[in-house]
Amino acid sequence: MKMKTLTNGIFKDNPIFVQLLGMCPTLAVTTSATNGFAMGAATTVVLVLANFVISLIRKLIPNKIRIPIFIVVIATFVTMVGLFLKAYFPEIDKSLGLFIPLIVVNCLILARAEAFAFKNGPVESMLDGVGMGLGFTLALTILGIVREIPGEGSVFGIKLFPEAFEPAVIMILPAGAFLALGLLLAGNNVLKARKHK
Amino acid sequence: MDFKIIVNSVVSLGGLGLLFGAGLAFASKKFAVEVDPRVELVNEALPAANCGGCGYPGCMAFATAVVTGEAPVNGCPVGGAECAAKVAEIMGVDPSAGEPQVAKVMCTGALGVCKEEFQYHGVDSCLAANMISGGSKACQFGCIGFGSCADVCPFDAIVIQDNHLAWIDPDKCVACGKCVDICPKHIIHMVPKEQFVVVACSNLEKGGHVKKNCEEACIACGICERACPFDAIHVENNLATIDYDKCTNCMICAEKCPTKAIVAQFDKRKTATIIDDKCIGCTICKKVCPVGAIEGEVKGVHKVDPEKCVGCGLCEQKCPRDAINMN
Amino acid sequence: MKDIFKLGIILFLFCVVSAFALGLTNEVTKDPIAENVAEANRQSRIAVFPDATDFTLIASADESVEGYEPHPNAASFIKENPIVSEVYLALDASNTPIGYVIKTLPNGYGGAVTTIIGFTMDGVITGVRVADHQETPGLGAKAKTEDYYNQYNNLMADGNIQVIKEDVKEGQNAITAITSATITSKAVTSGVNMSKAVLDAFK
Repeated sequence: MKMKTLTNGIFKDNPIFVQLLGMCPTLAVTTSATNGFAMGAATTVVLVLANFVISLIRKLIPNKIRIPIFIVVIATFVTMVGLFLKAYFPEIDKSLGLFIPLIVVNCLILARAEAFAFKNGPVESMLDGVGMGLGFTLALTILGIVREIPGEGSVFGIKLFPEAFEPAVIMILPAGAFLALGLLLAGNNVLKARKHK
Repeated sequence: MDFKIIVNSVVSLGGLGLLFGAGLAFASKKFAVEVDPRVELVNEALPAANCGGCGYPGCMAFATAVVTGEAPVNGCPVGGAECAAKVAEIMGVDPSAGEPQVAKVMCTGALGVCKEEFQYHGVDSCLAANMISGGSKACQFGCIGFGSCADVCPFDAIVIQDNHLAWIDPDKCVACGKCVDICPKHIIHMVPKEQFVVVACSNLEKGGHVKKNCEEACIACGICERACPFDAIHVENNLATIDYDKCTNCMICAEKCPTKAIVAQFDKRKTATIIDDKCIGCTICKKVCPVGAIEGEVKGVHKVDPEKCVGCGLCEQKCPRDAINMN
Repeated sequence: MKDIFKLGIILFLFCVVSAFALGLTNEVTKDPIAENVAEANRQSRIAVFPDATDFTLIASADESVEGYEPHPNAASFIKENPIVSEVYLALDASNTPIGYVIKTLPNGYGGAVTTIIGFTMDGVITGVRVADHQETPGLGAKAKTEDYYNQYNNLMADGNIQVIKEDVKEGQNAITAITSATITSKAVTSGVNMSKAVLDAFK
């Protein structure tokens, strides 16, 4: 059991802060910490399942059509996750909205399928999926918190400030998303540079 | 159980799959590009990190470069020796072929050696400092020393010392070439890893005025050119240049250089020893030694004076009985 | 040629398996999803008409909806009033009609603002809710707050509710617009004002 495969995706190769993959849902969905977390969780489920299945059948996939096959597998799992959410967790489905189908084109999932699952065993690929998914969820949750506190005055829906608090609406708009993400990326780079020295 | 929906989905999606699969196969035949099959084989031998450490944009680009002969088989630093062996096997070459190179900064003009024209206060980057009158050092060809090369090195092989001079660790350097590209003075060059004497100066100006700016600059005096027994160093454009193919690491030029612009790792210098049992006294070694370090009578065992020996290896090359060792 | 056949078949098989799996998932989740949707809709109607227990769809822009019992005036009404998409008859516990709930789609700042309004037979507004919208967060999106909704409660469904900038005086049939979101406020109000036309057509 290679533990390194699991922990790799959480900090060292974090999909958002290091690899910068999957920016579209990251910026759009993190208007609140809960949304960020829910999106991260949904993506993780799809990532683990897709990595596992693609790794299992990797010997059967001809190289020329591997991309359509990856997409079919990923789209199938996303559709399933979407249907389950609609049926049993309609509130989450409502808040994530059209970003659930967009998990299909989250380049993180296709990137891990191509770079890892296609070349490694099923158990390792699952671990990689879990690691990357956790890193993704962590990043989205942090970004959601950073945006929700000034933008809505709450965290995970719990109000933090008194009524008189005027929220900085820009933080829950797209411009705020870019600003927050940029600052977090800069912060991560500073931490990495310090660790190096 | 509504079978109609299931059947509909299976037929429609399956039909699309069939159509696209066949279509792609057809397209791949119709638009096929003649690709050397070795490119794919080499690509598979690589670690697929697509890190760019080799200096190429992605593993596929490196694989293509290897097959066209542009890149060395051991050019993947992440893959290491194991990967190099696999690639060499695919290419049908000996993996140790292709002399490894390292980058070296051709300047010794640290603070205290090279004068400063002015005090620079600004962005801590060579690229920025270079824009202000070519940097604060009096010598326009000198290392600015703010570390733009160190920043870009993905293998942490470059250290900027306190005296504002960049130094590249040859053990960590994998010759990816990123520092060579970024140095605004273009004074980082690739040298063979086994080359232990280099002209650590890039100054193309002549004579006395060069020395005024930097104590250890090359003043193009030509002493090294006259001293070299192997015709391996010449003064071109007012700068001594070593031909690495001819150089034997004897380091005589470094000894003779009046300004110490030529830097040599004297501890790496070899010494010749003659194996007494094998020596037949033919005196060929004595004749070819450029520094007269070998003593001996004809038909008698010869001996190398370690004080005089410069380790050029000429005697070892010429000995007909393989009686000389270089260590 | 064999290559074309082989790749085609492989992708075909993947798609078949995938479609089959999805078809099955769809079967399993179909009913819970439909229930969720129906319940969510019912809840949104009760939110605007708390006294009602059940609703009958009597006019709808989409005629294929389940349980549609079209009123004779339905077709012409929908045609003449395109911003109204659904009209429900609100019934109390004893199945007596006590009012109406309508779903309207007036145009706001960023697109249609789905507004649901409940009003009694006597023309008193019982509640207003905003559902889907594309208004600006922090500005027009404030239309989705309790405070804004409450402004409409007990106003007259005379088709003439005003949108003013100052505070509303006692007895005035008006609401105060959201600061910097007049367009959104006017859109919602225009939806509310359709109540008069519904009363005229269906009572």
